[in-house]
Amino acid sequence: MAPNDPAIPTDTVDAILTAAVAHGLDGAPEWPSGPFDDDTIRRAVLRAREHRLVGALAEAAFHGAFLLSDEQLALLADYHAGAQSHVLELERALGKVAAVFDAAGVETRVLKGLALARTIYDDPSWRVASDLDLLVPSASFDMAVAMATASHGLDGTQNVVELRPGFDAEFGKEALIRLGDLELDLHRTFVAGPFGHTIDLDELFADSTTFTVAGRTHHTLSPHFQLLHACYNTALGDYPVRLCAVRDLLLCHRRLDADLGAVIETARRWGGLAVVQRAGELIVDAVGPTIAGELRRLAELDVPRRERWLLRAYLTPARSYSRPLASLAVIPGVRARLRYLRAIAVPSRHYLRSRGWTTRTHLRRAIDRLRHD
Amino acid sequence: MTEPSPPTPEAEAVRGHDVLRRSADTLWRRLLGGVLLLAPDMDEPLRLSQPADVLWELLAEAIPFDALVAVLAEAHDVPADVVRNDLTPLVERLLAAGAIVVVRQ
Repeated sequence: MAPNDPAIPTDTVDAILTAAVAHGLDGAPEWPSGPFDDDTIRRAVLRAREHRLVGALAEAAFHGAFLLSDEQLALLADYHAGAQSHVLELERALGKVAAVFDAAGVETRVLKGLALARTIYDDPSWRVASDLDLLVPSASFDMAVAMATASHGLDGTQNVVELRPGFDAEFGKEALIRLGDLELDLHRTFVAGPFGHTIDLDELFADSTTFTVAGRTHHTLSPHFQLLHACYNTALGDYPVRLCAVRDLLLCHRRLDADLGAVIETARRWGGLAVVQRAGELIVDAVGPTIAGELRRLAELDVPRRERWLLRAYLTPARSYSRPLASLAVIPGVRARLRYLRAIAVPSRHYLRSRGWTTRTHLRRAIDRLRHD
Repeated sequence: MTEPSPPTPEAEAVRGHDVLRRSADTLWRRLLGGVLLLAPDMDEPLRLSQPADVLWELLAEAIPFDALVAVLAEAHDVPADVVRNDLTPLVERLLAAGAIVVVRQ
């Protein structure tokens, strides 16, 4: 179920979620005081699960800020333990994937939950994750997918293949690989759509931050790009925004050695001012201007009209179709644009078969979605 | 997740002077009322509920098994022999799974 838009707390569940987003930060709101009825806590835990904030609830309960009855604590403990059991399986998979990729010389940057848990959270126990996200250089992308799906490699399964051969390495955002019960997301860029095409991807591999899991060193983005990626993920990752992304951005800003002004300049250079501006607005909406602190600067940025237009492609339920169309406006070169257009209009039979579609149903589906937007 | 169970027949027997600590290869997370471990030889995560999770805290640094027993006996005001009997199967299971290692015998 898609998470609801964050709003000013009007009931106890909303107040609990708002407290979870800002937990541990200077100026954070007080946690609502109990006693709570069991139904309120059950709804709060389920909402926190949608927003991937169960770790924040557990952290607050662990430190005595979120006071619950024994039964309520047991409910939260079970959800938290289940989520962390999944995370441990993901970390184990990360070790296996890294061993295969390292041996082949495929460079990676770990993104999102697994990296953030180890670099900006006080204790990785308080950050949950659903997938294993790795950024791979475009030049290595096809090889990485091949190794992830090869029987002599990681033996994964790619249920939905690329639109046409070579599409993902040139234009794609990611390839989704099933590794047993886990999902490995091989990313080429931060986001789908136009703002994913204007990122200078080589810059992301020029430097890194390292962290260790079970004795193996992994690389994630440098602090500068971690903060910028947190903006992209907050603004464009899920629609409506998932509150965990808001918490990640707040923590990245407070805990990483990254200069916000420099981040804004990189966003300007990438044509992504609209992205960081939206991230700033979402932060202020979610936690208010006091806790947002310096991140308010993002919300106050002037955004070029063209970027505002591109952003609209993301803010619609039909975004799986509107984003590719908007991408045509930013892909450089006529030939590349034609290759892109051909791929999205006439995907390969292999792709259509993997989705259970025909060319006709693919086009009809796209037109229907865009018409009803 | 599973609760601790008796050691497998292959489990290594722990002796009083064995110095133990966590294995660097073991993944773990703090829980509300316990810890969750995933060692290289475990099929699935193992949940250590209170008070067994204190054992994991103590094993952050190398410590002789006899000292572990003494600390826990004093903390819970229970005879050392009782603690030793309760602790031995769990420690041997953790050793067998590779969650902890003997650093010195």
